Amino acid sequence: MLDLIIRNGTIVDGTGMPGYLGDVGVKDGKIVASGSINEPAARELDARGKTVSPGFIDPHTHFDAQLLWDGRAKPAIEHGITTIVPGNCSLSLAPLKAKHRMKLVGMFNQIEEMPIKAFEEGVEWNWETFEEFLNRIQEDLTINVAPLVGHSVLRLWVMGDDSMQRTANDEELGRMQELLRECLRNGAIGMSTSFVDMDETLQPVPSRYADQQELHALCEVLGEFNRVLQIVHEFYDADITLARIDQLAEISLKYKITTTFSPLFVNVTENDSVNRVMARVDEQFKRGARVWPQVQTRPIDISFCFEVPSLLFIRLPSWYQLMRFGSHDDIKAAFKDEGKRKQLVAEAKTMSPMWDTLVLRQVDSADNQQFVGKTLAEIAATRNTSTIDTMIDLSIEEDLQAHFLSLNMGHTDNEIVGSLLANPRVHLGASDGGAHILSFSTYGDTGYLFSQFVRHCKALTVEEAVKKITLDTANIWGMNNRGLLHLGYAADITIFDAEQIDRGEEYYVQDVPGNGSRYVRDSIGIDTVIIGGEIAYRDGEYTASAIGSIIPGASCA
Amino acid sequence: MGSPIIIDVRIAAAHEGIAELVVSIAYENGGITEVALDQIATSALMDSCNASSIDDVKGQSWVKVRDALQISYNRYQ
Repeated sequence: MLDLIIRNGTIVDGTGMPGYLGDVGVKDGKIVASGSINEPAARELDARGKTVSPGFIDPHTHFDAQLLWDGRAKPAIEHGITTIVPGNCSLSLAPLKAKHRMKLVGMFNQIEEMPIKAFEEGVEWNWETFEEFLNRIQEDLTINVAPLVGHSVLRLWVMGDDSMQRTANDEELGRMQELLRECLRNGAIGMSTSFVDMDETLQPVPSRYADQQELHALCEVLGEFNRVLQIVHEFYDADITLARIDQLAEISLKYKITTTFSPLFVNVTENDSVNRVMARVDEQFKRGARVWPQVQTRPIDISFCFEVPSLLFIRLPSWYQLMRFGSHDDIKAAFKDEGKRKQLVAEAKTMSPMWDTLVLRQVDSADNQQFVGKTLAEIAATRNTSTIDTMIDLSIEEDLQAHFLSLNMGHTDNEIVGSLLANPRVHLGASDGGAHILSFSTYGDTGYLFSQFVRHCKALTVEEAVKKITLDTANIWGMNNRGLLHLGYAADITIFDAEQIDRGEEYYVQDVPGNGSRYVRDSIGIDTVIIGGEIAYRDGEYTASAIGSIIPGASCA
Repeated sequence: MGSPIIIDVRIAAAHEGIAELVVSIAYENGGITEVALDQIATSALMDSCNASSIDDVKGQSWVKVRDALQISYNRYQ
């Protein structure tokens, strides 16, 4: 008697091979049968007309904090994701001494926009070590978690305040190595570091004070465990990115580890930065190094409010001068002054189409909440005024705290992004799930992959797209027995409609502890998500809980 | 060998959802590279170039970009 049989689906098994009609049988959390299954099962699901694939894996998230109050990492599972990798970009929530808690909260707030109040009201701080943290989140863990340990917190633990002042001495290096070993023994899948991030006081995060000797010492430990190094590189500079690729390649070759850098995105179409980066990646792969660039599927939006200068206005001299040199009161006065306002509006009309599509993102006043999520064109129609005047009026009404969003401003060239995603040396990821929660939704990239790059652009087949976010990801990260619908593999399974799967519209929801809010998206076309053989999500409802695992889990290595 | 110069500027979307300025720099040997500048660095670049319009920075030496990035990096120290 099997636990579960999924019948009559199109099985896309994660290898990239053509899908085929068949059944999948599950017992004790593993796939134990496939093809035509004649055994009985405790439960059967009819997947006729649906695609049955391995569960999707999201390798770049910041769900660390959310897992403390939401073991489902909502809404990741409903987008077909069965495994997440938190702890990216040098930041994890463990190991962490009690005295450093608020320091780390400040970093999470600055870098990932996780509200401080969420930590204050949603977190019971009852851990210090990595093992204690994993035990803590496992109390109610529904999604699988493959946690990275952050380089910045290793430094903070060993060096305290000096972690943001200087390089480590030999004794400290030894303690950091041993601490990393302890984290890896207890289930860390690797270590993350950052070369670019700032803390809440806009000082470089601890990992940025490390020298080459320190990075190598820690990668030597990763090599002992065959685990992964993730970095945030200087993505704003093509030449430094090339240098980082070379550096990662040397580390990969020396310690025989996988390395990955993120993000790589397309923000300029005429020039060839991405081609140069990929040529260097190819070159290093040919030497035997493993240096995986992470590329996201979704385009990038630009957000702004008039409280903070934005380069979005740099081609409008009057606006730019006002935002750069004007005080809060100067800006409001200019908006209210008839003559100055007339001049600003006239100048802004030279960029006319952009204003219509701007979306009102966030306001404080109750009166204007009704307009959040609407375009300026829609709001202007109800107010019987122009879009530019609407933007100015809302900004005055909100004391310059009206936040606007300009959609699809970067990473938008589908031809280039599609070919990049299809490139076998590109790692599909960089969703940032669980981060930037007040700026934009970091969920739904998997649905967007299928709707935009499989169905619309045809840059990948369904089978290739599935392979990218299942087997390829599992292989890159060394997640054994994940990412395939083969016998003996973990029964992490996503059932979806290949003709419908997509991301829903972005919307604002108040579900963060401390009355906090965030932007999320619902999924479209996801039928059922199975984690470890249990049905975690089906027909729009969450079902089982506390079924998730830590990957790779504790080891004796 | 001549100094590399700025040949193009454009607005782009940064990873975190803010606007940034991408500056293209051409080398004498024909190579081109790109550097993204944040708000502070862009302001510093415009000041050092005495630019009233962002397009005025075209033709200026790469050294101005380097110095602008330095100003941005050091702003809190």
